[in-house]
Amino acid sequence: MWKTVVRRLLIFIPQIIVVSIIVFFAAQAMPGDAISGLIGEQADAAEVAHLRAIHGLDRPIHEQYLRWVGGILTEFDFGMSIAHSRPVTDLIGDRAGNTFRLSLLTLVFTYAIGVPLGVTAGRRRGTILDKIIVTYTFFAIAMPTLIFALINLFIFGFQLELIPIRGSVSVEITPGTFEHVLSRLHHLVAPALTGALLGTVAIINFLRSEVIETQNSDYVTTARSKGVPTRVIYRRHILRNSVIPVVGGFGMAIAFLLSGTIFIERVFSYPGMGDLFISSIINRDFPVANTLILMFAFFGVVGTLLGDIFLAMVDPRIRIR
Amino acid sequence: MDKLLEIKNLTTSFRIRGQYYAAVDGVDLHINKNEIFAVVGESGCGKSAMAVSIVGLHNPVFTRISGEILLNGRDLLTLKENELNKVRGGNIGMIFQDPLSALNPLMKIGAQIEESLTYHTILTKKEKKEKALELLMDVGIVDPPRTYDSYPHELSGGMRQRVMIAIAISAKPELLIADEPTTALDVTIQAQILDLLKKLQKESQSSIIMITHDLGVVAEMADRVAVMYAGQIVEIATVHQLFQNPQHPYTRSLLSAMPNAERKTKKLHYIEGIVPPLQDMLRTGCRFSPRIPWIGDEHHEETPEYHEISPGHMVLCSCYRDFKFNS
Repeated sequence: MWKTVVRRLLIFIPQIIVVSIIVFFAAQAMPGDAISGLIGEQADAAEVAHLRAIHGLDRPIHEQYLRWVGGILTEFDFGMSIAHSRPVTDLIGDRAGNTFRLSLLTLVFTYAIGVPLGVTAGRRRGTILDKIIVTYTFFAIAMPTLIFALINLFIFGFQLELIPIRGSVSVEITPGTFEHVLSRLHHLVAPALTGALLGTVAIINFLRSEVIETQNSDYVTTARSKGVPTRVIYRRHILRNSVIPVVGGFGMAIAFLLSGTIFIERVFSYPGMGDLFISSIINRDFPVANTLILMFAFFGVVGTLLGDIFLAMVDPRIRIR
Repeated sequence: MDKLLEIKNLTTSFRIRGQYYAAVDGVDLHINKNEIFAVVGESGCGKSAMAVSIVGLHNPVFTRISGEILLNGRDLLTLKENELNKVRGGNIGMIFQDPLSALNPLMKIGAQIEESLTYHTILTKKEKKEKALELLMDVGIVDPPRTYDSYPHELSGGMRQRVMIAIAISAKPELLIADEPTTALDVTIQAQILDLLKKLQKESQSSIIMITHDLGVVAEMADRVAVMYAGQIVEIATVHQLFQNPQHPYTRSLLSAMPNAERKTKKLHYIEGIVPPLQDMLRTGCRFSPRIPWIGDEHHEETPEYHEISPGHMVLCSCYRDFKFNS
């Protein structure tokens, strides 16, 4: 199994090189650069040229790329954020924890909602309950994350004032206290639920169709012919076989979440990597944006790998060699 | 002889687009103790539907069953679900057609055998394991401890069918229903499985209902046989009677459609047409008549009845008297 893991990580190297090239050159193709983003259009031309020279933006493009990659490889230096005048690694380091907490809670909500709803819909196919759940999935698929997040923020944040409308924690509370933890949770609930309510659709649909299919499988008939009570059949035979594709998707879900909270973080002004990503693009702060894209690509690869490992753990027919 | 199972006027209907259609249509038969009873017919004739009705394994939402199914005098159709669960696996064991899909892919073989023991015996964990190993030995598994710890995908088709048999006989049922148990297996394995079933039946003095479309299997295994067509039994007899003196046009057509190495013929006989789908099935008169159109209406009965050829040998409809092959 370790061989597979190492091999998969090795394949990742050429992938990330290609991603880095595409990202870097695509960023250059965008109109304007960090300096124009920083000081606006009325700036003195000489001043702009001077700043460009400081950040090396006046050099040929391939030279800039090699300098960037060289810095990463030799000193793990991802460059300086032009907008924040801080090293990119520091900037991301500050926010990674927030995104990680948000992703984790979103994941918990996603499965906590999706698994019972999916199983119920499959088990009670054709009933009113099933129809309600299916209608909900249609609604959630059709709903853009951005709009849904805004609606939630408006209703629960502004109108009902149940949730904080920005930030990851209330600043006036001393870190380390129990209140601090509670405040963090309070800030997390709305963005996490927003993500989960939409993201859970994939799990509901997957589980529903799997349960329906598994109910009619031959081994369930065998189990019934053995005299196993229905409730045990659901637990032991149908459920376990139905969760396999969901488990396979689990790794991908992690990858998707770490990068996928982008819009939600933005709308809830939650200081995570997604929020940073969007502001860095608006500011043309490419050292930050490029690094984040590389990270998201990395999560993608690791997530798929994790998914495959989880799958091999639950399904004896799959063995990673 | 003592009757183990008696089926009276059994009708099993399936719902298709809101309408119920009988796949098994008024079947009467009985199974004696210590006998192998074969049910033979084409695909779609209702033989599997009948087998599955006996233990109530159909989806209750789409199925309606009426009549009586008496096991030792107790009507299985009146039982509650938990009582029926005692019968399933306990009194009646089932073996299915495809051993590749009939075992849970995520459970080890040992656990799948023990699951059956859990609901029908009061053995301890250790005793269950011993019993499972013993059962694997009984069904001819070469290395029981290894198979016990295997997953289904690690076994061959023949071994999986042996495991299925081990599960079916685990609680010493009086009746085994084998629904095309050898259809999915290759010919050499088929023979082994049939021998095994026969041996187990002899040892346990139990009965087997053998659902098959293979007359070779019937000749090899069965004591008595029922021929089914379009949801009805068209002929019922001992194996000897049926093969020596087949009466119903359907039976005779089936028999002449069997390839025979000794009797060389230029062309193999075949029966025109197919078993009609449930919705289009003829519900009055002789249901086989559309497939022997050269036999005129005057030879069929309007309401076909059973005629006794000899004791225990019954045939449906009078068309058997004047039936001739159309050459």
